[in-house]
Amino acid sequence: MKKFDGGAEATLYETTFEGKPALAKKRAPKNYRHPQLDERLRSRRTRQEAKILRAAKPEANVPELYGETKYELIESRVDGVLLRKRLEKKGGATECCEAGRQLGLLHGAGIVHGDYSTSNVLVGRKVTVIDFGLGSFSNELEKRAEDILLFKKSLQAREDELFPSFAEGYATAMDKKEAQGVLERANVIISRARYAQR
Amino acid sequence: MKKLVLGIESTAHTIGVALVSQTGKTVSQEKTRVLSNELAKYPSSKAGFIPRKLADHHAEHYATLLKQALEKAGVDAREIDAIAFSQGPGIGHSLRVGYMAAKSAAQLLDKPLVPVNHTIAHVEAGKWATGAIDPLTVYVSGGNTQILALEKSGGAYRYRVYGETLDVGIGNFLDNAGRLLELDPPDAVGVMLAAKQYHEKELVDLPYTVKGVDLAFSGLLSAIKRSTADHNALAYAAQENAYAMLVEAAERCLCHTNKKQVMLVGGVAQNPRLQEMFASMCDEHGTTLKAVPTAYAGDNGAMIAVTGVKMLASGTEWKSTEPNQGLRIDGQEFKWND
Repeated sequence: MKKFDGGAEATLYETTFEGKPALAKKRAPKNYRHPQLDERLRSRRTRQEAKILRAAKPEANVPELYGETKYELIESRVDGVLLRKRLEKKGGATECCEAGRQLGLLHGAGIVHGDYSTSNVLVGRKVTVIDFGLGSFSNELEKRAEDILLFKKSLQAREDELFPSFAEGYATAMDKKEAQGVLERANVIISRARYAQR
Repeated sequence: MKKLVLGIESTAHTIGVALVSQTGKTVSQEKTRVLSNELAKYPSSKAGFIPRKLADHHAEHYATLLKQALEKAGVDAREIDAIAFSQGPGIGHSLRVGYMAAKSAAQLLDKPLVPVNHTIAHVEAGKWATGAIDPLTVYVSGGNTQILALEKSGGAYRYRVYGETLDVGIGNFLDNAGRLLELDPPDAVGVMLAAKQYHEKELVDLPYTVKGVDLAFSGLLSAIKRSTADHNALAYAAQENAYAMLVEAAERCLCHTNKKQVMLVGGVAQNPRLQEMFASMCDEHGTTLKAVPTAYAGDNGAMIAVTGVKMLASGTEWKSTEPNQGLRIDGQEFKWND
């Protein structure tokens, strides 16, 4: 199989499923981890990601799940560039706004991503959210706020410029007051960090 | 022109005094030389740190360390060109001792006082000692656990914190685990020794908390408190989980930032198991691992002096010389880009 892309956690290979272009997402063993811990994390995360993809599909733009084994998922191939790459060029406010809206839709469906960064948002014909390995089912304010914060940090030097668009998009996907609550909690988490500016 | 800089470190358990000489404008192994690097460490106990006693300890040892540093360097105090000290972050009481010492030396000798950010000093001294260039830095000590890299914003450079602990530092977590399990010594070293005693290699199932690029250790600590498993087995699992969490977060930052080098600094950087795990991860990504040598891993005066030299040589400016317990790394701008 041809390697499609490699992230920190898994490697994607090109494949087909019933004639349709698909990707095989493999969680390869990590030699640095204790084998038991490694096995536990890889199988738990693969199972969790499958569950979340199924639940998220009707609510937001995510890849379609075709099949799963213990350490591997087969999912629809979504073409596009990572938002991180897109932001290396000027502009990108529209894409960030849509990334915010997609996160709002996921949160509204009771799903938190767990690693919502510009490396996990694909920009193609649509803006698609990928990589749910650290995701969970939760409506907790704290977990939602953590998603917001991870995204904010991943904007790196363009945080001040682009975060407002993201927040705006987020608020369009759910109740205004509810969205405001999450954004406020994100600020509380920042102030809780060690040696934060208070 | 040759410059002589005195460095004073006193943010936490260590009081350190060092003399560094500098020729030319850039900081490097050839041009920047550590002439002496003396320190005294407040011993660990079951009670942890008592800030007032910590300050007493530092005040008691400072004069002797200064004398030793001057003697070893073979210089006279009047030859000193600038005094660099740790401005923060750290424990208020002990920061004050270093500040008072530095301020009085600066006034007595009529030389400039250079406030150094302790976190940045770990990174800069690490780069100086290992020759790393623009690395992704993993700073691991008792009170700190941060994944950092230099970034250009506007016309200046600043460090960005990519990932960090959301509760305690990794060293603090290991110290607490050592105390809970009543190991000897009751700290991170005790955990390391107990883990070595455990030969079964069967891993107790403990929480593993990675939030994207951030970490949390409190769940792990509570689980250790509740567990009835063998103490050596728990020490082993505590280390395995905590280090794997850190490597995973760093790996994610590495893929996000595309840096070509990873540098380990701080007191915990010396742990052989941690280095082994990082080496394995870096290998997989075709990245070079640089680990700070023992002499500059824990808190020390030389790292403060080396950073002071770099600030002076680059013309970096500062607003205040007052100590600051909550000083962060990401607020300050620099004129260097390596």
